[in-house]
Amino acid sequence: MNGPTDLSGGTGGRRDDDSGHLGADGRDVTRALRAALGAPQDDDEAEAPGGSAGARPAAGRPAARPVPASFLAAVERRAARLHRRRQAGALAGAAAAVAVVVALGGLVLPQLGSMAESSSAGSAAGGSAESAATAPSGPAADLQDEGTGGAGPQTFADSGGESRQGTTAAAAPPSAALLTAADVTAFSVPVQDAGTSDETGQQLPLTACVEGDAGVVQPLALRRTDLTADPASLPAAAEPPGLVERVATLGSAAEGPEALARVEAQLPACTGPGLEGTGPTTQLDATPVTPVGGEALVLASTSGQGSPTLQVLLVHGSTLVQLQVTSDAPDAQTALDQLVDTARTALERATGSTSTIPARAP
Amino acid sequence: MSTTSLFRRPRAADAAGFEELVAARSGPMLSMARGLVRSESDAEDLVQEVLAKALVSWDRVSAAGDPAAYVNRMLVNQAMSFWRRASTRRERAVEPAELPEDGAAALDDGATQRGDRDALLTALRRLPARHRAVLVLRYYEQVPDAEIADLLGMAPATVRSSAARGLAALRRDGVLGDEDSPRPAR
Repeated sequence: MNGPTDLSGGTGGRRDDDSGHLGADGRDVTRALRAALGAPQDDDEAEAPGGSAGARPAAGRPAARPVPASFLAAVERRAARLHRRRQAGALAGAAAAVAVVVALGGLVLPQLGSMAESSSAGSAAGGSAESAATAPSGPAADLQDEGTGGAGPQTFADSGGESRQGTTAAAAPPSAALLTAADVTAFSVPVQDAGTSDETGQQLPLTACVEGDAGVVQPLALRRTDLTADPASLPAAAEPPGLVERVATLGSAAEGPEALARVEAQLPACTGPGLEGTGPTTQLDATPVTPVGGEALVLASTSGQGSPTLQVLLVHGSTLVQLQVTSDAPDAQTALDQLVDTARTALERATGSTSTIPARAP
Repeated sequence: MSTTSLFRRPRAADAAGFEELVAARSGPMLSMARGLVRSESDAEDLVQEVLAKALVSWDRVSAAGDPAAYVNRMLVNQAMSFWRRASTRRERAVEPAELPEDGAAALDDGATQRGDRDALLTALRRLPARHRAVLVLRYYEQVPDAEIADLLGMAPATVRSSAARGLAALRRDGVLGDEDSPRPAR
């Protein structure tokens, strides 16, 4: 089956079921590329039938060479760092599970206690349910106090949602402050969580465009999450949209505006196409995502495939949120419009405040 | 991640077969990475990151039918993630000279040949990331188009058109011969 006519005028180059046979021209390209990339020039290997990624025939693979101990040591160090992050994630998950159990216990047990009291009072003396609901006592109340560390069920009942939210936030792991797949509605396809990591101890590089360098900030804490589209849900030939969120806790409230100013100052140098095939970088009106009492910077470009890309930097107090987005919107402005709600959620999660970016007029 | 592995620091010596895989594949992986990212240091960074991840998840990697193929997939996926980022963290513990070299790369075969190769590599790195990846996977790794499409999340037709565009750009730059009179790597 021949493919559609390609841009070189050929008819699709190779057959799908015969992709290993590159033809004479293809073999020349292979030889040239292997020379350029520093690979062995082995004709037998170069002409080997195509295989899966890295699954070339064993006979065609280069012989193993001794690996310098320093190289292995560097890989081990990096692996240890990854491992520590996974440990932290697993422990945070366990802590979160405990916190959820405790919180649920605090919510459920008072109700059980109230029901028991109400039932008891009602059947014994025909007493009012009101007294049972407001004055839990006995074993159930003891369990409540124990389970909630002394906070007691009345805390939840009396102060309502605000207190409950505060308690949950205090017990939640750091990753809870990051966006989740359910928060991202900016794309035409659903996204999935591709990994969350604690990058505390690392610098946050600042840049206006791919080859730019606006320095770094050294945050007190830095967390990152990757949210990517499921390739299976994409139409053919579409570039997968996705989002990377970084949340940095800065040492002072002055660092955020300074960082934004440095990135903005670098923008004039980003007027040409980038090395990755990206388009020139432009600044969009950040008003829709500017938090009350904070600052925002929105930079737009295009990916090598022509999709709109955005970098959104939000500063609120000593919190800096960076969103790097590849969108499937038709243009950058539409991509930003579709991202406003996600940006608001990101900042609210990161700061714990619910009054950051003003909601748009209906 | 199992409970035992959670508390065990990953070590190459404890991962049976890992050192052999590194010895056999780190050179080809570096060559492939050179084509996937735009600088030598990024290529080294990419290879280190992928090998580190493979070491951490060695139980799963070694259980795969072909661990070499598995890490190559990891390399491509990591490169895609790499493109999305504006910058990456980098461990600079290993100088390029310390990395295992492939035989041909170590040969001193003259300034002319090196010049041609450098020109091709430079032109390759100017291509859009996905065109570059298609060319590397198709011609360097000889991966079938259908599998490239799967790896890069694009349609097979897009793989073919990306390859055609990439080759056309390299030919326009004069670093590859025409189809009718291909220019061999001298």
